[in-house]
Amino acid sequence: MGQGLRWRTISVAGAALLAVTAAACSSGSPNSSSTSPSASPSASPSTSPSSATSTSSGAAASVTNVTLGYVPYSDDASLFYAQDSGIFRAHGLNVSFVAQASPVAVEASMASGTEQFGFVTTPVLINLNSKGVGIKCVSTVDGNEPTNPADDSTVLVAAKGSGITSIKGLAGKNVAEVQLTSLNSLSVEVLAKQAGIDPASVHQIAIPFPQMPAALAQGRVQAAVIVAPFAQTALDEGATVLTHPNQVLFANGTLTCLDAMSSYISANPAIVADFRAAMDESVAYSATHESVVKQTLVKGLSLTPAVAAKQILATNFDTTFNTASIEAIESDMKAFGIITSEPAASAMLWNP
Amino acid sequence: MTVRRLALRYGLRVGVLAAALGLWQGLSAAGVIRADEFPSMSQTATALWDQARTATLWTAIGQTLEGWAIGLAIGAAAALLVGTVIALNSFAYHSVIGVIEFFKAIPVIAILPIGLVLWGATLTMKFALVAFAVFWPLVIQVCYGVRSVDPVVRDTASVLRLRGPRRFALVIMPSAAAFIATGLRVAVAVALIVDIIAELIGGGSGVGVRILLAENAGPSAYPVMYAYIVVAGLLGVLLAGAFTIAERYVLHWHESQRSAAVERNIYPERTEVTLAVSLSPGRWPGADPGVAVRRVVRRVVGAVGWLEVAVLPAARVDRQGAVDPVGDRPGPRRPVLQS
Repeated sequence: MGQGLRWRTISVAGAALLAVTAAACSSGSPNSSSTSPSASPSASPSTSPSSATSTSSGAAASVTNVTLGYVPYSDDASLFYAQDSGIFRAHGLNVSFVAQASPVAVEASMASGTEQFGFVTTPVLINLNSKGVGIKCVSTVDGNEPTNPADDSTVLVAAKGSGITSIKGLAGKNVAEVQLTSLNSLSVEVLAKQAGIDPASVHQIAIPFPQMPAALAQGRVQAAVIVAPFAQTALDEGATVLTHPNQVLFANGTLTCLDAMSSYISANPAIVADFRAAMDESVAYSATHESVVKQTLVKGLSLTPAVAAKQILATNFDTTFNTASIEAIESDMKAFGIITSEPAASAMLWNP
Repeated sequence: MTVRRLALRYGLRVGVLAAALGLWQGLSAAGVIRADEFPSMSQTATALWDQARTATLWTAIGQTLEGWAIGLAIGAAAALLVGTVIALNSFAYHSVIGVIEFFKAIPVIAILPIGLVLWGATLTMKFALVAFAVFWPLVIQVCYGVRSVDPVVRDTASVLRLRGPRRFALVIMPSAAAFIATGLRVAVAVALIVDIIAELIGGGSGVGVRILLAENAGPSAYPVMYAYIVVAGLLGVLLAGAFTIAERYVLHWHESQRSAAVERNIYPERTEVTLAVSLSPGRWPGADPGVAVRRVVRRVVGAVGWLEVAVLPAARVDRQGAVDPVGDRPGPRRPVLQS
């Protein structure tokens, strides 16, 4: 073995050790600081409860740590407010927020045990329960669906120049929806059936909300189920409102909620009761102080104060679960073959 | 490298980048790209600057790199170990390679829900997915590398009775290093992509979650969303660049790096470079501004190399009275065949 080769081989072994050491160092230090589970904008628990809301009955001696998975959008304002104003803390809860892309991701995290509470839409709630996954709504997000169309942020619009003036006109046309087999696609099918056209003749295409205005303007789709604030862009470009599907079909309906696993609820009824009380308190405050509560979106969604003030909270601030609306959605889902069994609506709702 | 060539090479890169950014701005200004769908370059740059002045951006980058580094370290270490073990045994290699190819083809996004159910939207979920994504392609590279050891070198090592860690460190690794480096270079990028996808779809914290938050906040936050997408791209470029530089140092003795070095004209006096030379101070004065840095790196590498010699057990060639094929080694000698 020549001297050169020997040197080289030694250097390789040395370099390998160096690399492993460096990797250990680089992975070691941040790991030790990663114990705080959340980094969401609203995660930092504020300890300054607003005087108007510090009416907590259970001034808890001990604080329970729970984690909540949420999907960031405007209607989280009451949820953010419960955190920022210290309502959760006043009810003995130290809530860590985890931002997630969809209710399905939230429910998967709850199944893992890393999250105790989470955001869910009613179709997902029904779907999972019909598949035997025991989850229950424990509180509304900010109340039920509004009864006044002007308060609803979800609209079914027709593109400018599409010639569509009513639901009937959707036959054979492309309709954009954020997700297939969601509440929005279900609504379109139900509305089509009610209007006397074959639901299968409506071509449903999944397009994210941000891309819908452009898809409408370019004629890739002739209609879309779109939400605020994206809807405004489409309307500014000449799209016309056909209807407010959620408000028409499910006025005062419970379309979203905050849920927990049934096993968690039965093991921790007191914590769940505290959570419900905190949310109800926050939503009640939101009903009378909407503009104050909307400002939590400045931090929660990184909006400017002006943009936050313009957001629509699609709610009537009624925190009583609407069992009939859940049953209605359930029978629609069964009719369109999304579920095969219909679990009792009361079994999917938890009330103290 | 002459100043002219340097200027040409880097000038072209900067020029193309500037042209791309200018085109972006121009298309936005001309209205070809819809402002409510895709922000202009200047809006995005402003948003990036605003984010860079807050802790939010840097925290997010830290959280993303955390998942990236841990996942990459675990995946790479496991691939190195498993790949070597498999490749050293032909029977094992031929039995297992099909299964590995199968797992390699599984997109990580398909197992993301399993990761979520097992670990939730946590750091563990992120690095587990990164490790999974990195492991399969890398283990194949390691197998190829280990199996590519020059038969002469392998036989010589056998004759010298090099075994265990010394054989691994002195014979197998040097031969496989170039293959592993190629695999790692790909893994560095794959790990970052998987990490950010896991954040974006699974949730938790990091650059991916910032993109998600900005996307859901509506058109007014689009510049912020694209700012974070730019950050993700920059992270990829920086990590890949850092890896290429690290590879240049660690594998500077390898044929591929030596010819590349000659092309870069780093070592004007010689084309053959050995560590013995590179460790000695005072060579190539002023040849390159980075020469001092390289010297420090080489010294550290050399010191660790010495440490390795001191710690690992020496080959027991002489003590056991093995064959000395060259005949120039000290110690007792015995004939090959003793009756």
